[in-house]
Amino acid sequence: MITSIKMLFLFVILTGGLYPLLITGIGQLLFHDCVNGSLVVVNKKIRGSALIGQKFSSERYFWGRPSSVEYNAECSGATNFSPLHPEFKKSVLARQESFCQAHKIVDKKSVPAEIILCSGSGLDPHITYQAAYLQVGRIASVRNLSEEKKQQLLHILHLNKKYINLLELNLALDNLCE
Amino acid sequence: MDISDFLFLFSYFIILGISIPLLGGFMAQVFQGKKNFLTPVVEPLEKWIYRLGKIPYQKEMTWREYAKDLLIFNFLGLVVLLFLLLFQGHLPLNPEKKGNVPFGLALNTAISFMTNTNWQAYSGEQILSYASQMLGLAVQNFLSAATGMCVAITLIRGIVRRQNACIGNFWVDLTRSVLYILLPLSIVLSVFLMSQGVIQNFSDYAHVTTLEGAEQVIPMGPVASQVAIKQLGTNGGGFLGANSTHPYENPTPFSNFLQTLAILLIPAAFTYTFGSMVGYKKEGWAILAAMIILFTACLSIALWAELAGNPTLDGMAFLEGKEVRFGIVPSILWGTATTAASNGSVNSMHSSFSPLAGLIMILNMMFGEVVFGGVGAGLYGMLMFVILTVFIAGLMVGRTPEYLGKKIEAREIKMAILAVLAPSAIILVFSAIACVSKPGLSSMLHRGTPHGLSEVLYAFTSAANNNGSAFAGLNANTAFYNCLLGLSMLIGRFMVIIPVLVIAGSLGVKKYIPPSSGTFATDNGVFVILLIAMIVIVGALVFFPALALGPIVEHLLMISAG
Repeated sequence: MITSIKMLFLFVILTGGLYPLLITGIGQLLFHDCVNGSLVVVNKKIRGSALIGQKFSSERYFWGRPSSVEYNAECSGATNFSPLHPEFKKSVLARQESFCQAHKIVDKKSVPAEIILCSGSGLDPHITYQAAYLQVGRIASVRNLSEEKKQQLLHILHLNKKYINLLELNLALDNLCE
Repeated sequence: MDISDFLFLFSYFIILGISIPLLGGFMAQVFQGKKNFLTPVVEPLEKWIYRLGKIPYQKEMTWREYAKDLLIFNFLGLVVLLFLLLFQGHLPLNPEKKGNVPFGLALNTAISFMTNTNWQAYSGEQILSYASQMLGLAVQNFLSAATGMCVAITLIRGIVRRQNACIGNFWVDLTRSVLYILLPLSIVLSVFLMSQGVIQNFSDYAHVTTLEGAEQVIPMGPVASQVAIKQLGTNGGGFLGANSTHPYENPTPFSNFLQTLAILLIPAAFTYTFGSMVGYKKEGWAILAAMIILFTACLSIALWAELAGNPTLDGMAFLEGKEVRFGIVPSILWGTATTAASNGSVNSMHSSFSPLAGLIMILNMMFGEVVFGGVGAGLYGMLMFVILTVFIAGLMVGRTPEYLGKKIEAREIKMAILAVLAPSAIILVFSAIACVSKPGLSSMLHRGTPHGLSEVLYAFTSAANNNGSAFAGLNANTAFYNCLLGLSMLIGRFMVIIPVLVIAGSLGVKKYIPPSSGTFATDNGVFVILLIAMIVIVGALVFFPALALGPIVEHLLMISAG
């Protein structure tokens, strides 16, 4: 019993104290921005984290994936709906419908699945290239983008092949329109 | 599947394959007390720990002494963790002023981390302080993993030793597991993870104003150090609620690759350690072959089911609960690895998988966590099946069964049966109780459907096999589930560990019998097939009726609805 107490104490110090402190030291020294949350600072204000998705519902911005926690970063999580849950099917079809309407899409099957399905964390910071591309027309018309600016926007999209960080994209969009 | 998916799978198995002899050989050196490349750095620390703990490190223990120290040490760890959680509100390193954890949840969590399960009925960022995470949970991540390694090593020693009642020294095995294997690997993995964006700080949660002007509170904490050991130690308990789907735990495809690799790294290497320590490397390869065949079969079925798309939604891809940066194939590989090895961390939500992929996740655990399995735990679990296979084969040819020169007799068989059947019995009995009781039913998200049954079946399978993943629609933070699942985890852990230690002790005192022409070979293809058949038959026969009512019916419903 005494041995157990002593050994437990030693391992708490070692694996619970020294180990995380060592890692924190290395991280703060070598990867300062990363280990502090990859926060995005614009005009000396923190506007979010490049890794944590934000809710975008304004017509002026690219929209992200639906989130079961509405991008509340304090309680990450998913719907956990099975593919057969009746509420799941209903909400997916409703989202598909409204995405199509907002972007004047005729062929519903061309809507990428991820833009109408909730992510695992509820904080997915990315959307696919395809989902972003479909939204360019809406944004160009709401923001009255000139043809030149629209081309610049498409160019930004083309830099990302598979998927795009939504916060960075929307920040670039704001920059473009200034 | 596109070319990048093939490359992903290919490089995964290649790197895992290369690591097996390297790490496995290294672990054999460590547990045999031989000099290795870490000795100059680690040995002074190791000696220092023995001195401070007053450990007679040259004295060996019988299985009873070993079991006694192991149990006392583990339950002491449980008590300390329990009190840490119960009183975290009064302790430092709590910038967000989290309150004390209620007793039922604290007890469930303490059992969960001590038994290497890491079932989580809570969300880390919502209720836990940094002190509880790093001084409580992370410590048990190391110690429960090390405990599993100790038990596996004693069983190997029991096989190797001749007429010797001693199976090693618990404190030495424990210290070496942590200092030489778990800690160095965790340090390396943490650094890689931090380079990808996994956070590691002690700051207050960040309050930010989003582009649309809303306020968002972003959790912080020492995450990287904890994620590293949770993956390597087959623990699986996330720092944050969404586990490795969370961008702060798993930010990039590369961090995802490393974490998926870390799940199987030590369990796979253990087969080589085994072969190396018993002196016949082929014996280790045979066990590894059985694991790989079962693993790739399960992976293929799950991939096939998941890539087919949802027929009730016009073949829409199964992306609910998955992250864009990972996609389907890496999510299914992780799911298969995390349930085959008793890890239980997730990078996508298993509850939203296609029914057959979900079935594979449950089935992997029902095999008894022997397809790679937990660190150490997978190997000793597999060796229980090996003993049963040798016994059945012996019955068929009418000879006393032997394994590696040791006679397998009544005592070993009884213990092996106990170790194999105890978790299975728990799963079925407790799931049945949950399905006919009000508190059991009211927690289901999919109440009244086959998926509701799957949720409960998954929960008890996960707990009794010390996995920790979930069909997380089930609200498990109730008195009923905290209590029953806690009990399942304890029984599933120690009703296996104790029989294994008994077998280790009983094999150790036996004489060595040199192989003769009549000895049943355990290092060839025939044996591998028999072993796989044994695992599948035990898994299938015991659980097929339950699976038929859950995921199989769900699959049929989905097809007919489409």
